[in-house]
Amino acid sequence: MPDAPVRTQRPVLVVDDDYDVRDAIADVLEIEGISAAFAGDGIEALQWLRDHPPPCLILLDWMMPRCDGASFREVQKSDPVLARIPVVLLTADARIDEKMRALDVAACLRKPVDLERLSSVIRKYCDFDGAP
Amino acid sequence: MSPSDVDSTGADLLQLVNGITDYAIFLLDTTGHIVTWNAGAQRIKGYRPEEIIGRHFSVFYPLADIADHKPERELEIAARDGRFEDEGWRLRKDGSRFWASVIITALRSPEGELRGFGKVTRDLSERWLGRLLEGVVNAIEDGIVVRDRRGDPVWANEAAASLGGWASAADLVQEQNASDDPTHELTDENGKVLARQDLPAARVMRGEPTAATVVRVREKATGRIWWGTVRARPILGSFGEPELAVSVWRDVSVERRRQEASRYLSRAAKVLTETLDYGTTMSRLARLLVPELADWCTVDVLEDGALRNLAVAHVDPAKVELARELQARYPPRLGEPTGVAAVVKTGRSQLVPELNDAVLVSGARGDPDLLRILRELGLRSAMTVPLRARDQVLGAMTLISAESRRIYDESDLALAEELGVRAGTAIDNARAYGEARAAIKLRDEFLSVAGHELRTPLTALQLQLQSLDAAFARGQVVAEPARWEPRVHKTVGHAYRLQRLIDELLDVSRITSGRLSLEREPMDLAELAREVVERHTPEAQRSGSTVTLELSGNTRGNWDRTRLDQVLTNLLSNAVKYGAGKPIALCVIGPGDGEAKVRLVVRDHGIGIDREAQPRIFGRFERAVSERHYGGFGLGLWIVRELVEAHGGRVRFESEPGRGSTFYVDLPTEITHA
Repeated sequence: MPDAPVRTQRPVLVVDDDYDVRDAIADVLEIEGISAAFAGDGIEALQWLRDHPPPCLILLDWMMPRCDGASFREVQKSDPVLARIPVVLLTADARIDEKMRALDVAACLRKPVDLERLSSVIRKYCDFDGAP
Repeated sequence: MSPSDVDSTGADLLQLVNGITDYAIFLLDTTGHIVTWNAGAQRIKGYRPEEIIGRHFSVFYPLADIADHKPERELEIAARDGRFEDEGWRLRKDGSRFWASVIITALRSPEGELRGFGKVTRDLSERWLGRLLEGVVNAIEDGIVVRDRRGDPVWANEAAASLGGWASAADLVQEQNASDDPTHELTDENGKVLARQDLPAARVMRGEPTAATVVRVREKATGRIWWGTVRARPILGSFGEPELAVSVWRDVSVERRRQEASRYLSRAAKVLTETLDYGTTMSRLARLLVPELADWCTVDVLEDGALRNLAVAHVDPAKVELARELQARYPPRLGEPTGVAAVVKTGRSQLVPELNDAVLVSGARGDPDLLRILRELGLRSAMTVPLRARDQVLGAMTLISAESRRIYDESDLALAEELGVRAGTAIDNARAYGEARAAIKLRDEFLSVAGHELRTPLTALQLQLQSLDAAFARGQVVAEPARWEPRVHKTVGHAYRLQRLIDELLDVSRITSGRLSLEREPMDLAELAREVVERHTPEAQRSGSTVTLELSGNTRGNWDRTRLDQVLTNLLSNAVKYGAGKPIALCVIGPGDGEAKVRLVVRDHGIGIDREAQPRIFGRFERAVSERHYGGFGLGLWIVRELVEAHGGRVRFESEPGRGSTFYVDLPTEITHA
């Protein structure tokens, strides 16, 4: 997206086992001028975090094979560097408030996610490099 | 002797005859009309001389004899032979009968001319009563025992002997004495032991009034139990004191058993409906039957193809513990020729009236320890009945007598079988309830999964559509159509995915309600496989795996193309999903020699299926990895099986956890009905 404003050099890490969801979020991030990194589950996400500088935001799915959102959060919070990365939970579950408290996340978006809400969350956490 | 001597002797004789009162002696003329009448005749028959002389002697005969011309025939015989003798019923003047001994003698002149008949009749009613009594006491099934004042039996009928287990009435009289009988235990209805002085015979001797008494009799030697009612009447001596007591014993075991059975059945019905936990129910049932019906009661049920012991009951907790140990060390095994396993297999009850040593030896399976314990338990008699419901055998109940020495018979078995049916029904109901509850839980879980599954593609669809909407608004789509076009295609893909999920849900309702119909057409399975593999290539590539297609032989048949597409798609999606990025093979193999089926093989080398989960992967709403989310409704394999079976085919699988799974589908090339 050559003419899109580049707000940050740091990507958003999208952790979701569903390819279509990851792909759709990537398209939204592209419009926002933010690069995206992907992980299919918590284990892949932790692997990516170990190999890369911290992303500006982690968009985290709740239900995933192998290592779900809760297990990921447990490991993430135990690491002081990783713990500072804000996490927004994406879930199809109706019990959002319960989940937010349990996972201690910055925000929680219910699937299907509304574009406006997703964009505003992304801007809120990824806008610190200033407008172009 | 001079004629005057004769005359005077005749007069004396006449006087003698007239004075005799024990015999009716009278003369008849040649036609049977009465000519003379003595005092005995008047006393026995009730007629005065003036009432009867001149009448025909047939007046003494019952109508039936007259109809048979018996009076005439008797006279004919007497006339011919000189004498006729008979015993039979005769009538008194008042119409009452008496048992008569009759002698009719023909009286002839010195020239031999018949002058008439002499008739001598004796009333033998008392002798008849004796014969009657003898006939009655031998004919009736009631046992009759006559005891003297000491309580010693002086007489008994054969029925009394057989009731009490003696070889003969004589043995009974000889062996029983006034002391309490050591060979029988007598108790009343409440289980209180009855001594001889409590019984009616002793009470009537004491002049006490007695009603019929119900007595439970247990033969100590054999364990045989029977129930009797006993009544007694005194025979008074010359001084009006009870001289003898007549006891009449009636076997009421059948009625008592019937009462006992209905009592048990109603108590069992209460126990069986108290709770839906059938383990608890069976324990309570077993305890209900001990010790009255059995010294031991065990209940085993068939669960997942194996026998499980649900209950052991004995009055002594230490023995229950011992039985549990035995159960643990020597569990009943299916396939055994006798006992619980055989009853469960055949559905037929087993009654072993006498657990003799040979039976114990065979039951011990050659184990000397077990044989020793079995012998020590003093097991006596046993029966095992199926727990049955809806023509299915769900388990077995075993009743064993030991300490009580009770011997089971067919009527005990009938009661046990009835209890078995009721227990089986209770188990069946409890299971059905449990299954219904599990089904509801599964459905609720499924609805929650379904919600999640529909929201996932909806998320992608909604984000893309909203992005496109915003791009249109900003005029970007018109400015850069090439950039936005792929996104339009993606939304179509997401919509297709949603449609497939919804179709899957509709298939469930279609299949479960029997509305699935196949639209068969000649088709080539290899061709379809090629298409499906092509469709899955992007998905497989994303997961890092490759799909290779192997085709061989003639793979054509008459099938529903859309449905087989679904079968292939579901199997291949699973292989990709659970394939851990390793190579996947799809083979379509034509029929071998003499075969009329095409085989489809889908093999992955992924996570495999846990052994514990393997039996239920074809179940509805089952996903072997449900605790770790893998997406989908968990309906895929269930639909595969239903569709394959609708085609008359079979699906099976082999799986090794951590090494992958292989699914085999056999489809008949000709139409067969599943």
